[in-house]
Amino acid sequence: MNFTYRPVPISAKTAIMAVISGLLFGAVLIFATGNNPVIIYAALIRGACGSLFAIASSIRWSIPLIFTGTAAAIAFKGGVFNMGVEGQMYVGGLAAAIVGITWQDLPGFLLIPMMLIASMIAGLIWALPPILAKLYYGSSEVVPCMMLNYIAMYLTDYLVHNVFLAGGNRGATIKTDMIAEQSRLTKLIPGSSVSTALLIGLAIVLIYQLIIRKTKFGYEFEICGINPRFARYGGVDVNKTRIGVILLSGAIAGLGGATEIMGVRYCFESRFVGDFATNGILAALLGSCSPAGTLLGAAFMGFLKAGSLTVERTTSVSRAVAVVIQCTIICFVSAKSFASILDLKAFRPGKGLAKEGKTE
Amino acid sequence: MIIIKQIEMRKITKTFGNLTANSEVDFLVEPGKIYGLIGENGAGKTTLMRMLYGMYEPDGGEILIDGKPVQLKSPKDAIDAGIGMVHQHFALVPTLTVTQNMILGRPIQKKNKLLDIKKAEQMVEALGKEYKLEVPPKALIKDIPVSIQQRVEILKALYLGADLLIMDEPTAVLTPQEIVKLFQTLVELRNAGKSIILITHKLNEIMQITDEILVLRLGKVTGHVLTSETDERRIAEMMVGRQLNPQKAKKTTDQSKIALEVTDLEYIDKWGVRAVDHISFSLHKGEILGIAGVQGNGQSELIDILTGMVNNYSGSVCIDGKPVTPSMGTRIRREYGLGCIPEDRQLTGAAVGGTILANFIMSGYRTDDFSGKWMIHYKKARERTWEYVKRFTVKTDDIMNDALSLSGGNLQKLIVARELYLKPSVLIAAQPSRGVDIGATEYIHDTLIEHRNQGNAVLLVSNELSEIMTVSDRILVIYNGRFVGEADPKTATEEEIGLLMAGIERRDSRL
Repeated sequence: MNFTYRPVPISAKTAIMAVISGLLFGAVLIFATGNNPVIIYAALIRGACGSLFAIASSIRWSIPLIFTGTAAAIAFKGGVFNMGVEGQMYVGGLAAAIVGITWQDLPGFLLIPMMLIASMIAGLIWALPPILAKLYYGSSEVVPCMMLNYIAMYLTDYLVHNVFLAGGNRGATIKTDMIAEQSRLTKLIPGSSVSTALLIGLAIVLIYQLIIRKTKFGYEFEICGINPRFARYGGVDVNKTRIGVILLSGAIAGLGGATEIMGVRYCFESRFVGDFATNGILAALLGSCSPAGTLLGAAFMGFLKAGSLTVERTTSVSRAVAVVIQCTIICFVSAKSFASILDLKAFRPGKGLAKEGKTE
Repeated sequence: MIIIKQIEMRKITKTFGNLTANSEVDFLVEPGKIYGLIGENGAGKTTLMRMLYGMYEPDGGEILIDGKPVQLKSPKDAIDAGIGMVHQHFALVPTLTVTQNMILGRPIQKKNKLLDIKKAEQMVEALGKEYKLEVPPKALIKDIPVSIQQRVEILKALYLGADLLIMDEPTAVLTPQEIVKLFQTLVELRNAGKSIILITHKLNEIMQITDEILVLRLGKVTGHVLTSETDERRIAEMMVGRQLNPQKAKKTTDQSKIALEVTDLEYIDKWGVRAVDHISFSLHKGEILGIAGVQGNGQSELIDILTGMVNNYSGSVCIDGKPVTPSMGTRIRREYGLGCIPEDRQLTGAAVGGTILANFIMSGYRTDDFSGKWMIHYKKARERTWEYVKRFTVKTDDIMNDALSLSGGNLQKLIVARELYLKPSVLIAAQPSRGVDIGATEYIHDTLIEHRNQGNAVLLVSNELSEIMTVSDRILVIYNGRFVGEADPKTATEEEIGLLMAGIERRDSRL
């Protein structure tokens, strides 16, 4: 099986139709569990944007997805399937936490950049082995990426448990000491978990936009994503470009781990990544891997998450229903995208016809 | 058993949005005849045939079979009416056997509804014998050559009961020998009472085999003639709707300096075949050197070696005086002055899915023409792209459109424009007119000659001997990975070169 990914643009119509179909399907499901879909959806919307707190909650859950989404989008655009976002986020988060705990005495304007840079370096180091395996030994990058996710998850647990465990903690919860006060990111909305991490995330999206719209590197990696053979024939070093792409992707994923810790948790907690990585990948797919689209995708997924948490708190319906809705939407949206991930040309008859129709 | 059928298309009109693909086309197909359907890209040939095969429904006009109007709403209807089509890209499942593919549309079953593969295999064999189209019934499609796959397609159509066989560009994938064989088959089928419609853009083939020719231009019939009463030039003029231009004149150029020096190239491909077998030649400035040969004799590999797409070869290459080693990639060779119009537009020559702009700037974005050290100045890049799109008459209304929106000829012109952008001192042109209409072919040939007249070198690699003969200054013939002869296009005949291409060596070979 060939995992070469080519982003397939999704029209706004497709996205909206998918959302509607997903919600309808979810409604049927809620109805089947003996609840009133209208009440549940009302709770969902209330939880996602019913109050300032709700909006803050939506933003809070979107922020990590902006990082993981952009990381995934960049990789996909360059024709590399970075399934290792999760692992890169873990090692990035731990690197930032270690720096933040170790240099308690440094001023914030030094410590914060140090932590961010440490997380990026950790993330890109974690992204390197799979792409090297792909380019020089011909393996698929997907499997090593996913295996490295497990390694990252358990290795960080191990390191925290044995080296960096919080003082006074007997190992009941695996978490580190708190990071220095001055290294915590400023709150944008007081009393919530929305911090300047949002601004860092938006800056990352902007930089991504800048790279593909303006730079030679962006042009090269987009072309590598569309047709690597053409890129090579035209004089682009495809291998080098792809290494650059996945390093960038890994660094952004690592940064996402750092901002989650510096803006929300203030310490490294075991399994803090949760579904950020998978939801980020879905956000990228929803947004056709474009910068603005990915941002919108992340916002939407954050909205659903915040809403579903409220649903779980205030009604008798499990959050699982929200997850099902989420997944249904993704299925509807990406039926097309997934076909291209697996390079199943045969499953895109529409495209094949358009091509033939045009040559004659 | 022969069912004689007369199929008539009467005043057929088909529009797609604003575009009229076919306008009041009349086409009478009688049994026992071979028809040629010819026209430039976009003339509406395929659309017309797709209506006959039930893939599109006509907006106006009617289709009559034996005088009775019929509605063909799907290919199934067409097959039931005795119409079969062999597409340019075969519709075969590569991992299934010949027999399994044949009976996909109409299975041969035992009483218990399970497939009777044994009986089916006997049927395939018998049918193959009947029409002199022998195929190995048990072989997997992916293991048999393209020409045999095509036979399977033809047999499949016959098995489904086709009396009219539509063939879309059947010779595009075949070698000259295989074309001869295919034509023999088609003649046999005609003699057996079948009618055949051949969609093509190759004039010499259509003159060779057809009984009648229907010429389309811009969706309208511009000629319906008996093949015996016309000639290639008249057909060509009906296709383009004007007199053909004489080819651009070649100036005398200084051909004393060497632009590309190749010594003792050897390349063994991944199947262990010595695809390029100790090749040496030199290409001079101000010269077009044609490499003639039947496809698959090492031309593709030679081009890949020269451009740097393949790195595990031995021998030396010198571009414009600068030696390149095998490990040097494509970029450095381009910087040394190499340009290449690749033989495969879709796979290598363009990034379909990218914009026309993105496709054009590939050659220039590394220069300071519209790029800084890190940035591409897209405003300037757009201006340059528009300038070249206009100069090379690439038909498009927006350079931000997908390259896929261009027709074959226009995409090829865009590629030529891009490759000439840096004025390469050595230009490789591989199959530059493959799948391209007459107008674009004329234009591309003139462009190559103009590039030569400016003192640059052109290496023309083509399977079409007529192209090599008209454009080159000197011809080398490649066979089995080595050069077997050199010829002067002014004095040599096509027959002489054809013999060399077939591997029959001359006594007085000049190499």
